Amino acid sequence: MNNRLRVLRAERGWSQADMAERLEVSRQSVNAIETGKYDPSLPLAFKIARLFGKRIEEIFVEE
Amino acid sequence: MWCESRSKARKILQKRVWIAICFYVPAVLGVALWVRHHPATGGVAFGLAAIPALPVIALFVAMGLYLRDESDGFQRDMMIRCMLWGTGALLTTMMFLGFAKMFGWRGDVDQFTEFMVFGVFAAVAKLTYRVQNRVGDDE
Repeated sequence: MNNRLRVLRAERGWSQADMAERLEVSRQSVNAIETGKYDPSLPLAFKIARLFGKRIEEIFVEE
Repeated sequence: MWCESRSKARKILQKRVWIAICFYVPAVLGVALWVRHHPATGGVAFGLAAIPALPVIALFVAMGLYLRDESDGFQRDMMIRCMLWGTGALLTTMMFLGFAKMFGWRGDVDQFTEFMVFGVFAAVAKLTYRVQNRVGDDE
């Protein structure tokens, strides 16, 4: 699944560590999600959406 | 690159694993010494053999609790994969040795080989996943 996390994060000037802290996950997890190696769970996807003030489908795009 | 922040659940797991190891080592040594000086048979022998197995049970209970409590799905996923690699290698080895004996192999493997197989494969899997998912310098 593709996503716009890296772009959204860069727009806000956050590092992966900043985002990991906000989401209460490891930086490894943020990196894995950004690179498409791991699809987040539904609760985490909602958390990400809330963090960026967007809807899930605006962040995650089905391939 | 290699430093990763540990979640609360991971820290608790590590603490529990260390506690289990702290019980395991004296249990193994104590039982071995006891049996050397007081050879046991029957039910007593089974009871003594069960003692070192208890910390191993505790180890897996600790892992189960970690999987329940870990809120980071990715880390949980990695742990499950490592345990699967260890378990798969263990079952394959046992199956292979079982068939080899059934087909007439008279050799033997060292005691606790299965435990080593599980540990080594789980550790190699963990290292491999860690390399695969390594993170570069933060942007």
